[in-house]
Amino acid sequence: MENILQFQGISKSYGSKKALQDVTFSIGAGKIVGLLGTNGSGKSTLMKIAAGLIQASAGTATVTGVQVGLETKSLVSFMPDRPLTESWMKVRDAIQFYKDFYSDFDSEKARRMLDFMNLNERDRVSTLSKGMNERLQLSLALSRNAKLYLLDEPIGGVDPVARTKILDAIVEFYSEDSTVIISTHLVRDIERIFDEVIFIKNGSIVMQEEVEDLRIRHGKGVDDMFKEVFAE
Amino acid sequence: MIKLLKYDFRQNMNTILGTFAVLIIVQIMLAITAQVRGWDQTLVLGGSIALYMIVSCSVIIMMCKTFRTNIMAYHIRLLPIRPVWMIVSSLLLGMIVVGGVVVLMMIHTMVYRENFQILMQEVELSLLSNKELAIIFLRVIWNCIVTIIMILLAITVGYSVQKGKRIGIWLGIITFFVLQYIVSWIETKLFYQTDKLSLPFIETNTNVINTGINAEIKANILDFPWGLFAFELVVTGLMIWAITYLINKRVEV
Repeated sequence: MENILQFQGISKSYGSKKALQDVTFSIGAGKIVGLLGTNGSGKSTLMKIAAGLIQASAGTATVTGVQVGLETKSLVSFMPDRPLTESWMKVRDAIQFYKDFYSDFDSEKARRMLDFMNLNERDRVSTLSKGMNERLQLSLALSRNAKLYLLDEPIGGVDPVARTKILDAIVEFYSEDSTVIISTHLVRDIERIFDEVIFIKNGSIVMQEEVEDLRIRHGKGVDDMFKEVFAE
Repeated sequence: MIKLLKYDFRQNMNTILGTFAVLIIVQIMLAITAQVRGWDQTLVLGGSIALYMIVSCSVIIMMCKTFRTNIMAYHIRLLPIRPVWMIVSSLLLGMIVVGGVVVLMMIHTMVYRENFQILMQEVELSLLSNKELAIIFLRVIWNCIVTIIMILLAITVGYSVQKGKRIGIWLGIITFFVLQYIVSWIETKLFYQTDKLSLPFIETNTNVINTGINAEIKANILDFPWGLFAFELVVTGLMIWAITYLINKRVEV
């Protein structure tokens, strides 16, 4: 089966600081993968390279065998840790923006997600709370029928009720023949939805395992493994 | 590209409408005040033209800010569109808005055509035909486009630097002036026959006399500078290529 995402020897430096060091991994289709690490471990950098927002200093990254670039932007739906809307927009303008530029955007799915998330199309984006904004960003990202979804800290900085809602939305609305990569350091809340986990520490991959294998081989859940790997 | 232009317009709608509203209000106030106080119409015309020039300059600033926002915005950089459309969209935005300013000027001229005709009697434009005027106008537009693309390249160079924002700003400014100087120097060496600072097909002679300024403009259409135009076309193409390359490879959000 073709890998959805493949990183081969990817390194990224910001001046003297190495954000990623020789990262090599591949992810198949139809999985929900947790990209787990502490703050500053390289999760966002890895996602930005996969999304085509930044260039790697070395190595190659491909999405469905195609080198990351203009073409793969149509295949990848990225939800970064900041809003993808403009301050003048209403919710319906944000929907229209995505509909205008992404041919795989499903307006009907977007409307169902807005209902699920209790969002009103007439609301101004600038008046939404942080939690409601996260719900909107997630609705926009998951309303595309993309091959690869990249969600960067989707539950960071939101209340526990909103967190549950967001996680339920991910499970409910993602396309099952696509792959979802979720980066987070809030492992306990989210581990229930993962098929596979990748631990990243100081810019290097330290472990990539299926969640089931983790339990069988190490006798530990994801949260316990996270604490063991990142213990100081 | 039209979709990107639509969102660039929406992004700047408040600024555009506000600027036009202020321009119209100030022009009306200037005209009324001049009439009531009996100001010299030459001064009023000068003030009016100055206001239109200021608005046109602010449009250039708006274009550059829009371009800068687009190259640094996550939601734009994630779009499956070629970076060249960011350049074209910013340019078209500016041209359309300036077009609106020109339309406003024409309406203004028609409303005050009596005063305008009296003033225009002082300026002899009869030596130039409509065709020559049109070519001079297009030449000015083309020069503006080339200069604006140079500014956009300078902005892109500035944002390509990862070492720090301040270094990037200074690098961008230096890039613009160096590029201007190099292109002008090459053009002077290749296409200008005299040491005078004049365009190859437009010769200006200006004499300041007691009652005003006597300016003579001769446009020799038969000597249209195809070589210069081709050179500038190549330079513009290279600048657009450089902007696209830098956005793809170096400018990081």
